[in-house]
Amino acid sequence: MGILLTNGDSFTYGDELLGSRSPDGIDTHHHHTFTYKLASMIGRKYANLGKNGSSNSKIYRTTIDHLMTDPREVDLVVILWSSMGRYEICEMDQIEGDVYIYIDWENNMSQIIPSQKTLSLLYEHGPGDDNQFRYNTIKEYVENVLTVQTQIFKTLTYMKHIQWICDSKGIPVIQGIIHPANYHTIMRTLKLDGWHDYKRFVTDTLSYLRPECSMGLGFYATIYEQVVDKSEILPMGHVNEDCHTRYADLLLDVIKERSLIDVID
Amino acid sequence: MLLTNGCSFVWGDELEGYDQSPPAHNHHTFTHKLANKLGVEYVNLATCGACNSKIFRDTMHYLRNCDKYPTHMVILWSAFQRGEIAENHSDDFEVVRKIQRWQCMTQISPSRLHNLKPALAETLVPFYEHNDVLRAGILETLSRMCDMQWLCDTLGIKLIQGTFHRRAHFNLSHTLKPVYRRGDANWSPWMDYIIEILDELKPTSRIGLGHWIDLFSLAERDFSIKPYGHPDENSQTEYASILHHIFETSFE
Repeated sequence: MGILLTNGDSFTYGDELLGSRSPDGIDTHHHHTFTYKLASMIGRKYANLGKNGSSNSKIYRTTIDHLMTDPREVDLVVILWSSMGRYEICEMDQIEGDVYIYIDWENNMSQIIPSQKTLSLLYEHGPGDDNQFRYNTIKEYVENVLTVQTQIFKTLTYMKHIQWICDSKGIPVIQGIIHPANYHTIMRTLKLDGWHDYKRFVTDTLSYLRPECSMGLGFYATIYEQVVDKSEILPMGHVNEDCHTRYADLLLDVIKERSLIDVID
Repeated sequence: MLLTNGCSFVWGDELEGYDQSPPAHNHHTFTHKLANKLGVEYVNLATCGACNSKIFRDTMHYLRNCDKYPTHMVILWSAFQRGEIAENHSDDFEVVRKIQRWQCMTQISPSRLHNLKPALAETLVPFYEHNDVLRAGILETLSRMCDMQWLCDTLGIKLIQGTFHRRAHFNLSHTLKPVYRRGDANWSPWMDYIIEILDELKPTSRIGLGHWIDLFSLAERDFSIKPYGHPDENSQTEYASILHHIFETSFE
């Protein structure tokens, strides 16, 4: 029997759940995550590649790297794509700020996390971001070059690639986004004047992606929408264990409804 | 069927007839000549100025939508540093700026910022100063090369891929020098990852990257380079022969 492979950002990693961000580096929160719960429900072992701060470029790369190199058979892939504004740059050193918020620094690739304001991206000074030239160049790039449309275009392209690659490999796949705001942003960009080629690309891609590869993009719901009471949102904005449990239940429903893999009730 | 993709070198920029409307240079390209040698039809997806994300995307789009997979594929990846940005432009932008765009994505090359909107170019100059777009581009391109090799193995497609210009090999070799692991230099994690990816690539996926010769070097060594830096017609002919030889001898 193969494994369940999940990937995403801090929501998939399970940030802020009890036992995450362990000072000794040995996290003990995994049994609280939707990955663990879903794996138990479907009777599979799992590999959770989710990491704090991951951009969608990193999520795409690490997913494919894993599929290419891990000798274990994969029975199901579940990817929760992150905020689309994120991207990565190559730098010689990790900035201190990333250490504070438990962002792994892999292959010299730093994850850049802009905040998103409707149709624009903003880059704000974070803790440990002391290099003024670095801050200025990234801010200029994020706010004056990197359009929201570029990032949406890239994420939707990754989603298309993943669906097709998994189809080619015969691996069932589920994909979604973490927060409904990301979908609202996509919809807003479709109302802008001009951007004809972009709009055609977005609508074509959304109709290409199957319902189970569009969770939160007009089908089913996001992990953030599992919140039923504000008290379930943790101090840094992640969702608590109850939401992870509900999301695992939702994923199981999707698996059954779409007949993705054999599961035992 | 033979599928090829790449930048202007694969499209056949500056070959006789390239500037006619519609272009009449296809019979000079290595794609055309290689397809003849293999006795198959061909599709050439290459576009001038394409960055590697676009080359990968367009290839995937073709494979996803074709009725029958190609039997042979050749991809010559472009400069590692190139990127793309989604922009909204007036309909006459391409004519005024002399740059083609597809799907709203402007192709950006650090060496050709003059083609861009002035405000965009001004912002990119300091950005390139701080951010190592070369190393980021190498990591992305080699990852995509591995993806493509893995996919083609699954789909039963004979794939040859490599780089268009000797500069790419020079850039890659330079960034892997031991000096970047010593003293204050802290590039070891990146270098380890790149070496791991290079090890995954078969010789047929490293044309011009340590195996066989790239198209530019071939033109420079044995033939001639056109005024704007593209290989001439004879280079394309010889390159088709080399690729044909690789297809004949390196695949079952």
